[in-house]
Amino acid sequence: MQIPARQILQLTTANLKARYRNTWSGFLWVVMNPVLMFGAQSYAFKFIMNIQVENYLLFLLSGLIPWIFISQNLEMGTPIFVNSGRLLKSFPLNPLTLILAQILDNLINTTVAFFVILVPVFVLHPFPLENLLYLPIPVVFLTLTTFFLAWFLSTLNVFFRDIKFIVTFLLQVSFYMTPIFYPIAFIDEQYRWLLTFNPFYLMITPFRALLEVPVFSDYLWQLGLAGLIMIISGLMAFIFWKVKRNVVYFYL
Amino acid sequence: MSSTSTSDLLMTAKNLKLVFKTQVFRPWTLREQFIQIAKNPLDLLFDRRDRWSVLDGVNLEIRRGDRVGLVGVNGTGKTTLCRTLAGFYMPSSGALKVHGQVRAVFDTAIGIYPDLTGRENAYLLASLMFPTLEKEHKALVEEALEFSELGAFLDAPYKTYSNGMQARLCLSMVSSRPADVLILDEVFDGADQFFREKISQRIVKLIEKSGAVLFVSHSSDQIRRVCNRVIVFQKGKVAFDGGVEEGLSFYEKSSNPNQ
Repeated sequence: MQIPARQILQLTTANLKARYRNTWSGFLWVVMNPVLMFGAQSYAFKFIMNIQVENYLLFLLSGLIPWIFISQNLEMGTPIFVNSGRLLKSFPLNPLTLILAQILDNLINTTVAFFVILVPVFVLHPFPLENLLYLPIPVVFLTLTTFFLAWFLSTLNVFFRDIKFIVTFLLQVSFYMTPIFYPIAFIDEQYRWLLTFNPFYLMITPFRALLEVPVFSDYLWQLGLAGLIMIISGLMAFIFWKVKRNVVYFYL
Repeated sequence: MSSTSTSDLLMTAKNLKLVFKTQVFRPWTLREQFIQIAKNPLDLLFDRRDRWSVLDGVNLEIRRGDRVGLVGVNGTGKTTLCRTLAGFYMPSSGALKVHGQVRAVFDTAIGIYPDLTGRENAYLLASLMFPTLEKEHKALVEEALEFSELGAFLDAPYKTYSNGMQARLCLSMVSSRPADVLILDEVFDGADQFFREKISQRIVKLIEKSGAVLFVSHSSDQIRRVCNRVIVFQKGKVAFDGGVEEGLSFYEKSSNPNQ
């Protein structure tokens, strides 16, 4: 079954329409979610817990927005095959189209939320705008990686229907285990090597270029690691799907 | 109806097999799986999966002009055969060749986005069912919607529709354009008797315009009305392939437990 680009666009538009219910207030509601999360966390961590990081708002923005994108994609992507089982068994529709549509929908919302937050943060702490040029490649990598992971998890969720709850739980744990709202310096040196095995950390690191552009070779190294995670997730999802495809349709 | 089969081949299946290896009673959550393993860790060493041969060597040729009625008792693999021919399942072995476009419909009471209106769902259905007819979508959808007689309900959310209304919308859409091979799996259910009569006529016309049709139904009357060939499917195999009356009487004799 093919994945026509037009079908993905139509489903993405339909996704957006269903979420916004064709209104501006609906749009505001969806975009406000990450904005409020940012507001609450920046208040809690900067002013109540008084985390000492230079330019903290920008630091939080560069970690939290990719994290929200990751967690939304995985949480919303995991139940898609099971929830759309009847549809997938009724029409020759490539199941990946549904996941792609959900991820594009999230990409649009998160990008809008990012710029909504960026404006006041920029006013409070001006930073060189050319730093933004370092973001598109990590965005593409992150979008593809989360697509592959959502594909894998959605397939796995057909076999074990509690995977979606486990994903939610693991995401909550990972949020605290990953240096998103605190810098890596907060982790004792003897435990830092553990981060090498944290795919979320490796995917988010290139986004820190927003705060301070790293040496170019470091940036390339970070991209290489994020790319490696992308390739591993892609292979994992593809092979699992190839082997289990028939049983997936059978169980749906 | 009795149009004769011509020689151009649209679909060939040779010794088509589909085998599932799975447990009948399997844990459906990771939690159950964990408990099962904790109870009996040695289980991990054995493959407890059963082998289900759902399609057991199917040989089939469908030519332009064939209107095939597929009959068989419940659970014999008719829908699985149709899904395999439509490309949902990858055959475990054997060869399947398809020349032309296959359109298959397995469920008519289904919306893609229940939160959106009937009309919006119809446009989405059009892009799923007729991806190559992009330019005709507007005309096609509007004609189908008019045929459905849903009127003002078309702009109400799809989730507020009754099963019958959903079937009306879906059937009107499905039956709006012919295909090289059309697979219709028990699609007449759901709609009320008046609409069923109206949609039957439309589907008969559609079948006349389509290259070939595989029609799954439990209604002998409908099969007599629509088909010029009958395949009786039993235990994953083609048990009979031939004329309509002979096929139906074969089915009656071989499947009726009272005879």
